[in-house]
Amino acid sequence: MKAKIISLVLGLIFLMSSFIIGDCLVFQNTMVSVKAATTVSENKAIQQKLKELGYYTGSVDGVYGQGTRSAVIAFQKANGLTADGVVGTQTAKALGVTLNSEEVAQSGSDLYLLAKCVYSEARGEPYEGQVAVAAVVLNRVESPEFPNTISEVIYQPWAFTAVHDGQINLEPDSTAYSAAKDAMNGWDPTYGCLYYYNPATATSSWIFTRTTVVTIGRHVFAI
Amino acid sequence: MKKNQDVLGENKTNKKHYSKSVVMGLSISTAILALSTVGLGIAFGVAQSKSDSYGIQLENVYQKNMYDLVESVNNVETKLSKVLASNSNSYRKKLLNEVAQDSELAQNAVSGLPLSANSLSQSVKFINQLGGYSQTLADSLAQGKALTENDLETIGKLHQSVKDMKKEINKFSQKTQNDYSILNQSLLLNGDYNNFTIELSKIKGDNMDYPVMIYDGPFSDSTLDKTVKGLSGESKDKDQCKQEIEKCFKNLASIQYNGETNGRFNTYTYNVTNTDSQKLFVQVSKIGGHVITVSGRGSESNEKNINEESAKNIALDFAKENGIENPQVVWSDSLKNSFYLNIAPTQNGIVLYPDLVKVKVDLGSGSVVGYDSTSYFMNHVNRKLSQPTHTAKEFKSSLPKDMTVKNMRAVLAPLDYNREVLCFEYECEKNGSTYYFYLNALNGKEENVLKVIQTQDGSKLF
Repeated sequence: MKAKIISLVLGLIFLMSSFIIGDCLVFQNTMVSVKAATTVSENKAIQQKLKELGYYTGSVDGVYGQGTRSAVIAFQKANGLTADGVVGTQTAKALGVTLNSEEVAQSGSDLYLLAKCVYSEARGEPYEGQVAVAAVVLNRVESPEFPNTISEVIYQPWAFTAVHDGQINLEPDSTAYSAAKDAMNGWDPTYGCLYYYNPATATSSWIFTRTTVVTIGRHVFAI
Repeated sequence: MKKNQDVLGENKTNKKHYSKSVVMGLSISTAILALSTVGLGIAFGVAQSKSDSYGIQLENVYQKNMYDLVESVNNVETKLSKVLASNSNSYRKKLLNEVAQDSELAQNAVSGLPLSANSLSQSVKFINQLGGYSQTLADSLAQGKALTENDLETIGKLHQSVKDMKKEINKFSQKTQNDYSILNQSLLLNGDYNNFTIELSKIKGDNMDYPVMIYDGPFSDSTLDKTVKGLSGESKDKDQCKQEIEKCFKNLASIQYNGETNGRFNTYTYNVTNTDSQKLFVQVSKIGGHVITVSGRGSESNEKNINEESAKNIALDFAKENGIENPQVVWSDSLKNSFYLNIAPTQNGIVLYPDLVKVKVDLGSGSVVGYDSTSYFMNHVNRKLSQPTHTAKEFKSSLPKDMTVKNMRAVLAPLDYNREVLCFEYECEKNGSTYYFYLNALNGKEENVLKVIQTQDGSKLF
């Protein structure tokens, strides 16, 4: 009996050890999904066609979201195309949609990155608190004391805990997206703050010396 | 006894059987143990070598950034001394442009180093302002102006600071090339800061004196120290401000006083709920009782109950109620159910872009769920605008020939930092793309060109 338990335990250890190896491999294979670079009007045409063909049930709003992406993948699978969820020339041809070659649409990656930062740093905070966190990032871009692009500010080592511990790679929800979009449009309930902290968890004594402008949810915003 | 023996005999056979299975079990478990040990060993080895290789790669990135930083500081020092030595305006312009680029590089390198948060901000500010100042001087040389005595004196002081910085940073860089791991030092904490940060911040020593740079450009102190110009009227208490909210919103369910925000604007804050149960965060100025911001998520559904035309009217009504003078919708864009509008006040029919108000109307509830009038109350004053001596039509011929003009109007455009210029705005089309041209209303000079860019999240101007 004892031996059985021993072998069971050892077997488990063995299993776990193979998980550790597996884990390393899984970690390496994690990729951020690439977004399709089609324009709003093209997206609308794509959604309309997918809807007619029965692949898409959402609204024809021109926003290339998860719903559109899944519908495109389903269409691609059914038509023997590479199921990457991106409407390229082949998929567009099969759908009967013409892509406007004159304009190269941009993926809005700054907004996506900002949304990821908001989600990882402030999910669970009230909406205005999420807008405020996004605004602090943008205020830093404008400030001479910080780097001058959104990606540099966010990925500056040690600047944000959520970036440091990898939570930045979580997929943002629509609220974080909306908050990031508002901040990009100029909303700033902090009137130009460069710092925020959670007084319950902040470890740096320096941060408490900054002048508080407003407290929103659990975050203190300071200049 | 016999029974007992039997029992014992039985026990014996059982024992024999048992010990056999124990031996078998043991050999199996020994085999498993051996396999697991090997497995664990491999796993550990793989994990270890992976983490070692991650560490090496990270260290390489840090070292690269350190090299870039040293290289760009060296270049800035050399080029600034050449600016002082040169007597040619065109060569000085070239050098100053390069100094601006090298400063950007230095700043990029610093932002990629593992510095503790809130450290080295003074040095980063110095580098950024140095770049901004050099660019401003290069631009003014490009416009045919010469450097003044004052400019040269400032460059001289800047050069001295950069020289000190160069000396220290080269000393430090020699250390980092010699068996020094930036990664390891960045993981060792000493109080609030890590070791690497503490050592790098020594570069900004006591003897280093940063000159104050007075110029209009990005990152200049004059751009940062903005004061509120557009707020006037009596001081209001939190109950009076609450009434102002009631005036602006047509579909209120509840208002709750939340606290204060005391920054560039001094405001009372309220948590507001509308009849569609949408939660809004509203800030109202203590002076004059104007709504400064409204932050709200809006509905998540895609059900639209009002069209964009009515949304425009809702936004305009809100702006008028809030004291915006002669508002006009100048730009709109939608993302799902959020309809974003830019509203500008007008003065004698001239659109005042510096005083832009931003509104977000929810097409589901038909309610204002976002509002920002900070630019308006920051900048709005009754301006003395010079009357254009020409008309928009007269300057139309100076636009590129392949542009089809769709619309034109007189606007006050905010151009490079604090400069407001009376312009004619031409909305043009070329190959299906939309461009906005801004020609100076007094002399027809092209001041700015913007292009409408389509992104996944709506269109934007660039």
